[in-house]
Amino acid sequence: MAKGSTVRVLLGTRKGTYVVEGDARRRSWKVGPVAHDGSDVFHVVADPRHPGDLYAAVNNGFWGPMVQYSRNWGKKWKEISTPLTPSGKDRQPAFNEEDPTAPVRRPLNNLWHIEPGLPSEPDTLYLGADPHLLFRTTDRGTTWDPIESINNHPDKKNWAPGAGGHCLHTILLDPRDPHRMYIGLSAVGTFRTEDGGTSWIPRNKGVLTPFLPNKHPETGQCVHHVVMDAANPDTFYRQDHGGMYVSHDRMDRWVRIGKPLGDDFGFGVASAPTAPGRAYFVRLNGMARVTGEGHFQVHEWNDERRAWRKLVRPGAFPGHFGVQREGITTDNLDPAGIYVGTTTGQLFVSPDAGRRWQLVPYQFPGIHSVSVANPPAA
Amino acid sequence: MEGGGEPEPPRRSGRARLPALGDSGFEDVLRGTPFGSPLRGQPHGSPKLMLDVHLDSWLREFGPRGRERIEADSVEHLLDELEARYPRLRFKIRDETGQIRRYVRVFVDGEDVSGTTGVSTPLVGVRAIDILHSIAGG
Repeated sequence: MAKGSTVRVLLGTRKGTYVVEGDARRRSWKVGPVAHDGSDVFHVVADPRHPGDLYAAVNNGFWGPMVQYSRNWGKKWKEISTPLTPSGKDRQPAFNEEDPTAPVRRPLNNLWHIEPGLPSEPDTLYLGADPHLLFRTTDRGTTWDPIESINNHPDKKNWAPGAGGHCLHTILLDPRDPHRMYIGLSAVGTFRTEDGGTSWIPRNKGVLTPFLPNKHPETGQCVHHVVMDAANPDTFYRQDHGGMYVSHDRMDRWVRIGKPLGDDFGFGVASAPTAPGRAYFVRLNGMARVTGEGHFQVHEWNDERRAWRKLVRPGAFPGHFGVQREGITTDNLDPAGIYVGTTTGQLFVSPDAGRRWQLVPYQFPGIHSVSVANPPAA
Repeated sequence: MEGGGEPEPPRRSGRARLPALGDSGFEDVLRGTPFGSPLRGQPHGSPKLMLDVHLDSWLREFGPRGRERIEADSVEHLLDELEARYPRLRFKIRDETGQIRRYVRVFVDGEDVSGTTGVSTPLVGVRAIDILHSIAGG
């Protein structure tokens, strides 16, 4: 570990996992060796309840999806139980000849998101996967329980995929109530449960579906990503195919905030514990799926003033950059660090809530996800 | 690796998979049966042979380092046994529905059955199975 290290930036890339260690000022970065070499890693996350524990959603093009974990900050990784893995003769046939009317079982495709549980449930994690699957483990990944209220949802046959497939990519936990959580699925929308996952209600009111004949259906929204305001768990910021939105009432109603930006398409959105009432979006051209201005840019939404601000000096980093749904995140320091990974392998860092930006001098493979392992509390 | 006492049919070239007459007790079944005949659809439960199974270097991370000797009468049963011996191979070769993964190739005496008869391929008169990753990526 670098002397005086403060944060570790965890990158899931098209070709493996990287752990990037910063110094105390978040100006100097040390890139560790790649793990999961050659695999598409859609998400890497640190478990703040167990310092040193990392989890990775590894999707290998040949051998399929694997949940991997490390207990030493990524120095060594091991495969742990991947869900939906009935053994031997319990395998489900793709088509059941004995019961042709039975639903066709689809294989587990990509793993999309791993969410550590609340501090009160130290061994619980959640996993979102394709096709529209949600799992929970209460033993740190040794076994996974399917959450059947989603996995066998009665309306599931009508759930369409997004370009990334039938992905369940967003999982948010209410820190005040372990029974309340939220999920986001493409192209289905967002749901909330108040009973620990027994039942779910769609929460997409106000979100436009420009790609459907019905522009305001109950479900069918192509939500790209949602984050919770760290200071107010009733407030959410949403990047949707249909624009940028905010909700102040636990997703009961969404209000579009991105219209002043013109094209408010994008994938990534983040909020910071030390910057409540702010959200960070990377606006992309809706057709090209890269920054349309010809340079790297991050837009900050000030929820109190209801105003937008550009954080990057125009032209400081010329080019066209793609950013995926997990491609932007923050740390918990003050001022907040903002981290953005691009589909062409650049890692941009601001150590001071967007005032100054640097490009980490390392060419990574295309970056799927950026997350941060925060330093232990002093 | 040395296996049990099952007689081994002689290795043959080309597509013929017929064991030498008199060395396996299969002659009544196999005599004159061409490759691709209804024999290939023979149900499981046929007499089993000891097979040499070879995994490519990438798959050896999860399975045997060298050749493995397995007795099986179909690709499905062979993979069942292989996964029972090496649990980390589960779901690497086949997905949860039991089908061979898109970018995995299973060769039965040199013939790729991944996209044809797949896991139901009978292994009568077969000597060697190669399980490899396919040409893919970018």
